[in-house]
Amino acid sequence: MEQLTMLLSGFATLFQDPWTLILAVFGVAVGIVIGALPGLTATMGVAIILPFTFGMAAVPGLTMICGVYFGGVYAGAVTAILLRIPGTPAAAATAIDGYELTKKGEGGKALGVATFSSFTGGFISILMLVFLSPILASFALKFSAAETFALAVFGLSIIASISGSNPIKGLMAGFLGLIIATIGLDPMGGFPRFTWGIPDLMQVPFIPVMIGLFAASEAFKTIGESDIAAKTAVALKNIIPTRETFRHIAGTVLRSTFLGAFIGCVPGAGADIAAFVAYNEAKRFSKHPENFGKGEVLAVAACESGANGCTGGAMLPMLTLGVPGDAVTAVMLGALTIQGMQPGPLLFRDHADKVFTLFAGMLFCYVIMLAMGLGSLRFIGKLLQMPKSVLTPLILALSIVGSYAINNNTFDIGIMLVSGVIGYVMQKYDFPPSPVVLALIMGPMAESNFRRALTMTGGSYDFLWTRPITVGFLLLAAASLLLPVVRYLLARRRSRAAAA
Amino acid sequence: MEQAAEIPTKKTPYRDRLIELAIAVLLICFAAGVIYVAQGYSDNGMSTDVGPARFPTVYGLVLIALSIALIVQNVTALNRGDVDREAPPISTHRVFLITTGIVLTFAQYWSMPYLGYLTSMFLYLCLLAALMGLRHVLLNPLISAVFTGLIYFCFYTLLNVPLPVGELFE
Repeated sequence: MEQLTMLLSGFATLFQDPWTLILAVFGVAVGIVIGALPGLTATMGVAIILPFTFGMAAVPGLTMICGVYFGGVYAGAVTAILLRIPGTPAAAATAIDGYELTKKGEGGKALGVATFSSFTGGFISILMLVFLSPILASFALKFSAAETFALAVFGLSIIASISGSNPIKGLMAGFLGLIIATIGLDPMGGFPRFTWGIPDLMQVPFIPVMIGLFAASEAFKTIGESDIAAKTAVALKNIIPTRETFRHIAGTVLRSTFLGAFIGCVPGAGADIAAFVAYNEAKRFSKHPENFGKGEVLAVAACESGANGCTGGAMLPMLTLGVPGDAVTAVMLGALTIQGMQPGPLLFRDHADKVFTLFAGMLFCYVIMLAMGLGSLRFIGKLLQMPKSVLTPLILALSIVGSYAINNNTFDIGIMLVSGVIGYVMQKYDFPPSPVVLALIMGPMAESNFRRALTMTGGSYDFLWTRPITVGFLLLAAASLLLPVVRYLLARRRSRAAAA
Repeated sequence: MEQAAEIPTKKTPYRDRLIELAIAVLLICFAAGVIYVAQGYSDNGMSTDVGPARFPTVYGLVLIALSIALIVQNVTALNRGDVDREAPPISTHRVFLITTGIVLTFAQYWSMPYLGYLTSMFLYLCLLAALMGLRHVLLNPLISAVFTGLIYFCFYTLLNVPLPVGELFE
């Protein structure tokens, strides 16, 4: 109850300061633009906006940063759904089914569901941040390297279920991604692997790979299609979901929100991981999992609520214990410190009024995001009514400049283009690109935490079977990995028997 | 996870089966190369660590195993005659368009440091749009110029991304 009183007091303070409200609106708008532009992530948006907050008071500055963060995480889904360009890594999972819905002429429905799911996921996760922060943060903090390794393995096991019709091809794509993820500095000793003396390969950025696999490959494919007749006349109808749609997605949204908030609490696991895990869980719980990958609205709802649910979760350990949950919260931690609010347990004692006003500001940002998101969807949707001879060059130009903008380095464009060609070949011969992206995110996390855990146990592999959470995650991973393969083999045997 | 049990009802074209075999062989060579190179990585001296070579080696071995599984799958399908031998041939015009588009994109990438963002992107957009059928004398350069300018404004002016000026213009 005390938290509720403090939150209401925070709202009262917030609404007495129009400047904070204006900055929140501005932050969300900037976040939506940045999130929708391929290659620009919420992390980059927060980093770009950070210097502008130095001269501001703590609450307005931090509220604006939160607006950029929330808007950025949400807007990645807009281009993922309309153009199959994930604006942010988290939107890669949304692109799988979102774009299929657009191809079916249900882009408006997908965007509406994504917007409401993002809002619900984010809003609830902030409420959880307010009310459950001590409990969740203390549980997530029990995770040592062994548990984080097991979590990463669980994340990697999802590859099997996002592999489409042939799990072998999906797993091949996943392991190709895992090999690519080892390029660069070895996480323990700093030994350069597969770099061939090229400094740019010391740390391969995975966003250009993602842009190449998802955006450039699709654009290359489109170049070969007939032009003017192939106008992508997708009208964005039914953006506001119907009551039936709300009822249909409600359970998935709530489950994915809690899942996202939980994953967000785990240091190192961000919105991208939350989106993929939420996708997998929605598929497992679905009565029609065969529709996933072919334009299932539940998949879009799960990914978006999971990714946005992560935002509140990621801030839990950062605010209460000073441990950032992901890259964005790491930047935010710096912003809080600059503002004289040292994150940690003392923050709630020394600056409780500011913290709860900030919480109120975060909730306000989500309401603004919902309004702005729904308001701007039709405008962004106009992009699809352009002829392909206009749209495809624009997609490629955005992919090129977006890849360059990450590090201001033309080498990243090369990575994107090579990935684009590989992605095109993969797409043509039915190798799914999503496992590559998942492997790029999870691979380094799995390796570094496995080796760290091994060092902590003096070289003993005991941690794999003596720690209950680790064992739990590994068992879940085994089930998640093997079940689709077993089902595939059984179904193949059945179809052969039927044919005979 | 029922979806993974889905079996494609459409037969795979004979040509695609052969290409899949080639991809599997290529990946085996790639994975073997990864394992070979990784063996050259020295241990970091920590007795409690597996060293920098272990993970790439394991990944490489699994990729080889999966590639062999794909080869077996395709060879079995070929032997059983489970292929579509009447699939339409690849359209050479389509291949030409895609290959030219990819070459143009790589050309833009290579020319950007010399010509700068504005010139290289404008030329690239004009040529790509023309390749895709937009050959109107006014519309083509106009749309290309608008897109080039818009992207420049968003990234260079609003987001402070220093897009290359080009060695020719510096």
